[in-house]
Amino acid sequence: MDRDPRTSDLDGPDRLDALLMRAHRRLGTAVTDRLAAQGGPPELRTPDLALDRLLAATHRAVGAAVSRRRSREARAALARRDLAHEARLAERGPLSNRPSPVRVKYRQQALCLAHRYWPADLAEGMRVAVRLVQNLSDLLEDTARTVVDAASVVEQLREHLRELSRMPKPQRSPVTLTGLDYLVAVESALAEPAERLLHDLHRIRQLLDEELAPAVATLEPATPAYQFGVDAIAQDLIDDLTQGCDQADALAKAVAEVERASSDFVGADLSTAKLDGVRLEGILWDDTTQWPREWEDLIRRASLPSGEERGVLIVAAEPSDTVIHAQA
Amino acid sequence: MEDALSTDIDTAVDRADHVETSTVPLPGIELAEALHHEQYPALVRFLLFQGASWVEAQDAAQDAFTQMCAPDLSITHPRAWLRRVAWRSWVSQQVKPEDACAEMPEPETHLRWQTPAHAAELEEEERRVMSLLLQLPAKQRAALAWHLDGFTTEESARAMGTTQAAVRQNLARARAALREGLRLEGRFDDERRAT
Repeated sequence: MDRDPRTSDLDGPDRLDALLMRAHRRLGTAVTDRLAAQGGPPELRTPDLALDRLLAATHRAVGAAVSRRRSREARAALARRDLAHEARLAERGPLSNRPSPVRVKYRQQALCLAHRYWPADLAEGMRVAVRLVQNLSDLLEDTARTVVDAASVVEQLREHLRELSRMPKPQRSPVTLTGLDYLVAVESALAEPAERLLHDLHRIRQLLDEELAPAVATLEPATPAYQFGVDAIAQDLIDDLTQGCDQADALAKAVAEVERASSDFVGADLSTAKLDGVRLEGILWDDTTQWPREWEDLIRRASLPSGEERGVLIVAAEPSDTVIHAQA
Repeated sequence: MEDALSTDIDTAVDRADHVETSTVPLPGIELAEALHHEQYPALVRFLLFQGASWVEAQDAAQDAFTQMCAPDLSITHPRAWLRRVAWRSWVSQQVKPEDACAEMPEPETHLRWQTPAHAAELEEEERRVMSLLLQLPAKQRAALAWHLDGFTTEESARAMGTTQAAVRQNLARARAALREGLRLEGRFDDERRAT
């Protein structure tokens, strides 16, 4: 305590002055010490220097603010996207797990295969067949109707089933050395349900040709159909056709998966894919999809919003390979 | 440096007198170079006394010197000028953009440990003085700060843009409040003397 002995003996006003002065002095010492600890008073800044510093500091601060904000937005967008992405991944089948450059390379062949196995809406075709047989049953209950009607329905059904069966015999391609070829995987994904459907169709046609048709042929006018067992056969046929519907649905699912694997490139890395000669029309992508650099611009121009999901684009028209030069 | 900061009111007044008696206006940039080293800590202390935080006081002091360097500026009373400009700079730090048209705000005082007013260098009693000081109204604080920095009432009245009478009144009120707060005339004082 270096209190001045004079001051402690003094009364009110003088003591206050002494206290204030001491506080003033000590504060001065404290300030000087702290400034010295910081390396002395900062350099004198002329307005030019001050402006330079201010500009630099502002520039830095704005840069930091922008990048902070951007990363915050990106994080939020990423979180949103992750949800959508996970939902999408959950929908994808095993084929979609194949590398995207492979999927895009064999896209056309895979889609052709899908088309071969699904030339028309087979599931709808099976349902039409079921309705035909139901019509036949209704017809048979009405004894007043002519037998000719029943025969024509049978003929119609036979024709319809033949149409449906006009599917390629699954070409189990000679198992390749690896057996892991992408197209082999596509083909087997399609062929298994297709085989089962064909098998069912075959049985149904047998039933039709060997049991229902002869039975209908023996029908006599004005005799109840049940006496000939026709209605029971028709019911069997309906059961078989219903089972066939399930097989057709399974095939439809397989076809949809192949189409999805061939077209859904949302979030895929295609930067190393060879896109020459690949039909890109119908490919779904978004801004997380990485295209080869020389293709990106072309594809972006040829794409439209898919309307399926926010931010997902669809390649609408085949982008042209030839770029017309501005000076041409 | 200790010399540059007033240690005694009498000598401080003397020095302020003979420093500020120069009636010849001098170019601001020359004055800034001459006074920077000596007056920078004094400016910081001046603002700390008025309740600025450590960082605010340094910013304002820096700003005052920068403004002093403005071309075509001549100053007759550089120390008073620096204090006035630094004070204004500190006050305008407190003005938020949205109330730019409002009246000059009462500067917010900072009873934080970042101010040396509360630093460990000060003794208990001095810290008490400082914290009482920071509770005074802004005008009384300002009057005291000018006074302690060695300016006459005339000089500080001119710098603050008021009358000498007002400065004297603020000083008197500040002293009365401090005396009251420190109980220099009451029981506390008696006890102290009894020990």
